[in-house]
Amino acid sequence: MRLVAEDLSIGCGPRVVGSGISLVVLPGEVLCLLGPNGAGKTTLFRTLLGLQPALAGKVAIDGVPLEYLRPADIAQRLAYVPQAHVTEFSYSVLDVVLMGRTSRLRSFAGPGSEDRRIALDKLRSLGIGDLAGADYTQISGGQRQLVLIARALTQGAPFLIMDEPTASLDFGNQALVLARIRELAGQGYGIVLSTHDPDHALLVGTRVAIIAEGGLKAIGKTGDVVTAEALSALYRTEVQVEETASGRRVCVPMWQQPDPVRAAPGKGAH
Amino acid sequence: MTGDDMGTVTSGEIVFMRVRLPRVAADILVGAALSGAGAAYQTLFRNPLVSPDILGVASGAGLGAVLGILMSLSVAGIEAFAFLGGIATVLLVYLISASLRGHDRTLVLVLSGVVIGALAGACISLVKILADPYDQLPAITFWLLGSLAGIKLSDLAITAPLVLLGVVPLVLERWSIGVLSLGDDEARSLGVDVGRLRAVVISAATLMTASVVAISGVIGWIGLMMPHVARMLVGPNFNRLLPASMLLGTAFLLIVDTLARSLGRVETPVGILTAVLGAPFFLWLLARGRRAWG
Repeated sequence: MRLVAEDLSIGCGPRVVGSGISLVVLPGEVLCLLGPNGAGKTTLFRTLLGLQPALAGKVAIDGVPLEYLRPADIAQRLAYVPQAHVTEFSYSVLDVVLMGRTSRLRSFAGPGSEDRRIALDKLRSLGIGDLAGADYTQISGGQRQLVLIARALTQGAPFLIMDEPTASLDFGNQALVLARIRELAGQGYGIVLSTHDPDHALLVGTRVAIIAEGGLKAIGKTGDVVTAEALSALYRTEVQVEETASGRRVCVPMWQQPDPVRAAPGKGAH
Repeated sequence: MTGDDMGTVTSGEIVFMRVRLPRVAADILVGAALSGAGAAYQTLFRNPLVSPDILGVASGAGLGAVLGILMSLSVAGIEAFAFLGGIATVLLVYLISASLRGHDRTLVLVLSGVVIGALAGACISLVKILADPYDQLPAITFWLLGSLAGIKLSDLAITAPLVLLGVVPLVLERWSIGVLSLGDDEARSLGVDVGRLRAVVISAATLMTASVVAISGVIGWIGLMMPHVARMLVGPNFNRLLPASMLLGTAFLLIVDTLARSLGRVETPVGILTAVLGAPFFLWLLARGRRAWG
């Protein structure tokens, strides 16, 4: 089982956003995509999911190019986790998760008791089983993100593609979602996710790809790609990668002016 | 019925069979079709404020009907013109939106519908100027207001199968249509063939709306209001929303049409009554805000 992009050119019509993109995703690994706004992360995801055609090159799952697969066939192999959003109508959490079963239903059938059992199972496995009856539009952003992950899991697809799963979540919810993503990789899912926070790549990424200026700038093991030089160039601000006392690596922006807390010890932090 | 039967059939029975029964059957059919089409469009366009006319089907049917009246066609001819006018307008809107690639498909569809609908409205006004002011103009005005008076069982014999033909695909695809309400990208990533399903929904809803508008004229607001009420009762899931909307539409039109028939000494066109009820309902919805869209 492998998800492969080969010499991919992405974009819309005459506008090429990126080219020469090749990557492989294997089960059990998390590939984190780093890149500035507008670098083409979303376009790359849409192309990987078959939502828009590749301008050149191909995307294949287990050797079968996406263009030979119907939407339902793709959905059984690749699950998409969009950024947590609010639906127009007040679906229950269970309704939203059940929609993940669409590609597994027979023609003209709705979900049955087995589908319901799978949906509840996935909600429980993410620790949000008690939300099943809640109104999806009324729960918190972090909970919505977990619900969308649960929905993706019900598709029974071996690969998950997550568009900035930690965006617009508070610190606690970011940690919660990242912990679940690590668990899912441990269970054998192959995961591709985009993030604006290189620390998140250090926390969950087995491999990291940097996408900028129309192509893949680097791809490889997290420790090899997330370096001070690479991040400083990518985000156009000086960044240092430091090791904490517990042995974790974190990214720290380097500023000229002194640390505000140390500079004014009498006043303390607000 | 011939003169020979008059000895055994009471006038009450005649009124029932020729006037009341067709009218009640028409209420049921028109209310169900408009509300079902409205529920389908609100789900497809992810917008609780759209009506079955969003792609211009009623404006097109109106244009067809007034052209038929201008040409002094028979009632059946006017109905056929209205039906074809509605279908042709939506087809035009669909083809225009399909030719504008690279844009948000839903937005282009809705905007094309608004533009073509407005164009059809302008053409209707033009026909009104050309029409004979003593004979044709009142007929045009009355048709555009929408009324179920004078409907015959023979009209319904053609309309009912057409409406059914539209309802069947909506029922079969009820689950996938609900998934469409998540948006094109998400629905496709969940395995829905979005382009095909969108065409199915638009064809089905257009068939339902055009065939009832052809016999009843433009009865507004039902297709917008009833799916709302249905959502409040059974939630937004399309497999429950569709039957609930159709039942409510039926009940609502039966009540309002009975009022239209009995309120004054002269019958009020039912389209006026639904608008009088619909406008405040719409404002109330806006005032309740997003939550009410449930």
